[in-house]
Amino acid sequence: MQGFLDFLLSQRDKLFQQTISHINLTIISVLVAIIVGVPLGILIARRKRLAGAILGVAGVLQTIPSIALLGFMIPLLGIGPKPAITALFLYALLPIIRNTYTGITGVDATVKEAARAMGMSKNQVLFKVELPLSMPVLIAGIRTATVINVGVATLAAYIAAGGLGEFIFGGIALNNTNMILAGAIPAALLALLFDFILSRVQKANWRKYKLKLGLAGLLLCSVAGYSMLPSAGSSKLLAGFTPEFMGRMDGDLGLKKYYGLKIPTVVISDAVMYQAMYEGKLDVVSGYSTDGRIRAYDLSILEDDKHIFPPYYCAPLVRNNTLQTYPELAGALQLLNGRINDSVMTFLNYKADYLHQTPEQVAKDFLQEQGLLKPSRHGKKGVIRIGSKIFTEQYILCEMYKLLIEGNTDLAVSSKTGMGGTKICFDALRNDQIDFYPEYTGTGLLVILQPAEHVTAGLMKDKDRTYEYVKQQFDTQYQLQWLPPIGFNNAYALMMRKGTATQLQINSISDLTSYLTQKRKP
Amino acid sequence: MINASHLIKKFGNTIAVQDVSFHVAEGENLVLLGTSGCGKTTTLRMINRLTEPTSGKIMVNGADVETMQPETLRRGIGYVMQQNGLFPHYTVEENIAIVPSLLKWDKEKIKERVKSLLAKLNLSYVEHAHMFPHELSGGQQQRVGLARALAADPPVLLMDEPFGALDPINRQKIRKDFSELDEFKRKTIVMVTHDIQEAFELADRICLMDKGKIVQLGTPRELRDNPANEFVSAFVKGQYLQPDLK
Repeated sequence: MQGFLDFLLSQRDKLFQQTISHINLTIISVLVAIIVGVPLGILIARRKRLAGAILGVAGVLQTIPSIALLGFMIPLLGIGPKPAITALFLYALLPIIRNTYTGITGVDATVKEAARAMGMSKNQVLFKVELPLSMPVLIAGIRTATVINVGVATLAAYIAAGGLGEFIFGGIALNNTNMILAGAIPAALLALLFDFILSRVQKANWRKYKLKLGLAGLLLCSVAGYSMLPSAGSSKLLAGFTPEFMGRMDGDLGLKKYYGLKIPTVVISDAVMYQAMYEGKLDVVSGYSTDGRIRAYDLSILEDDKHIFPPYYCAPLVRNNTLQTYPELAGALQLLNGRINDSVMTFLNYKADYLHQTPEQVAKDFLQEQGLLKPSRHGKKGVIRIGSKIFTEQYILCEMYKLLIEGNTDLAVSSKTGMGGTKICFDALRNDQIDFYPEYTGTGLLVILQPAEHVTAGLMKDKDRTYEYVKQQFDTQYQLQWLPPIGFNNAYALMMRKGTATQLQINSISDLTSYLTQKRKP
Repeated sequence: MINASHLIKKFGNTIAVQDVSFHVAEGENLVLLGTSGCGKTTTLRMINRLTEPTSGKIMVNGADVETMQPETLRRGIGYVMQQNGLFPHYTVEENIAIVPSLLKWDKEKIKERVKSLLAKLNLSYVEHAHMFPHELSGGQQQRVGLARALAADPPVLLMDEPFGALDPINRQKIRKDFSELDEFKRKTIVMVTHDIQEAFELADRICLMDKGKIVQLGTPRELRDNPANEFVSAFVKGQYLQPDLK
């Protein structure tokens, strides 16, 4: 509890900023949905033949998984608030259209008839009778849409639109419960708050003048809100870092501390980061040195001349229990050792990321080439559960291990791939939900163990010492075993487009820092 | 005042109104009488164009209704419905003020008008004007409905089963109050009912309809004394005891 409060206190500026942008994302998207959805609802209440088609389309939009919808927006609208608001807007449409339609068609026919018979025009019937009387149902739709959007807006952090998702995803990736709560609790409170406010609005006595007042208020809010959103691309160089990178000492914190790097930064998911980089929406990104997209998008890695990134040698992290029960497992897993160096791994990732081969295919081809592929023995001795994080390299390694275990032992395999971060994998491993997953020494050191700075300082420059340290600590603290490393180093790295880097003569992170500093002085 | 000639209304293949013609003189009360489905309500609704005739012509106050804006036409014709059709989100005062407001009357004038109408219909301004319809009894609601139709003092009043939803005692009372209003006496009224007693009580002339056609059009006395056919005599049976028919 104390830790959580301390975290909130130390991060209050960020928290405030994220909350504001979360509110803005939600309100603006819902407002646009009201502006579009209410007239559509009115239209289909008038022309019932259109109702099926329009409600159908809005319904289909609603069923698209939110993260996929955000993904679809990138090629169309790039990154930042614009695609996020668009996706949220599409989500909010269905409840608003449907409730407007239900509300208006539900108004007592006698009352509508009376309004016509008194000599009201169509618009007068709409604004003085139909809309005020359907307002409780209509507002209920807006409530639903708003509460949904407060939740979905957390995902906006994946595409550099800000919001409380930055803390949530950062916390998940960093094994930092306080950080997760710092995002999740305000998000839940926001949902409750909006719901409460709208429930009061819903119960208000909707009279004609209030309708006009309300409309004016809504418009004002949206204009004010939009101007407060973080804008992507206002400065010369813009950095895009993953939520995990933002909170790591071998990440944004270290860059600030050791390099004094000051660069406008947006938080973005690594799934869309490279694309955004390639399209020129970002200039500097945090990446992994074996990522296939470095080659595909012609990026160059900036040299870490002050050594803030420790070695990240990849090795299977296995439960001690599992190794004792199935001693043959260790041998099968170590067949890969010495066969994959940095450039081989980069090439394998490239085949999957850019040539769009499936991870299964890439894994199979590689083992074939290395003479390691054996037909499955369909063993029944036991089941090994493999976990993986949610990026290409882990999927490929996971497939390779699966084939190796099935071909060389009498064990069967079930894989749980695509777990969204270090914390999720690590917790699954400790809680006996998986038996092993590929982990990186540097991550084990800085994200899980988090030793004091004077300890890490000595370790970080030497890959063997890092490995020995995590191996020993994990064994005693968690009863988990680091098997020997495969042989490649998937280090964190800062990257720029080759063209830009050459043009600005930036080869190392220090170059980047001095370029940015010198630019500020006229 | 109202002149309907050769009205025909078809809904799809069904003929609801078949060649109906009548004339209503200024200040006269014409009652459209008949069983349900005889076309009387459709006929009434064609007068203020809530329903458009398939063919035929209606003149109100010398003007062909088809040439008029429906909204303008309706603002000049009072309309009373069986289910009062009051706006649930408007107070009694606001309900009564609807047509005067549409006609952009001065606020003070509207208020005065509401006050005098409420008084005439035995409602109290202080007590009832700021209530909402659901706070009133059925009889009071119907009185407000009448007040609303009369608010802009239209020369013509259309009434569709105006007392039909009320219990017998309330119906008697409100009908009596209404028939004693000077408004009732001055206005040209077309009223729809299936209640023969009501028709005999309020009508100057009765237009008895069946299956979309007029069976007989005449004063109550004519219907009683000279029924055109068996249908009419069967319908007016029991009204012989009324002594003082028009």
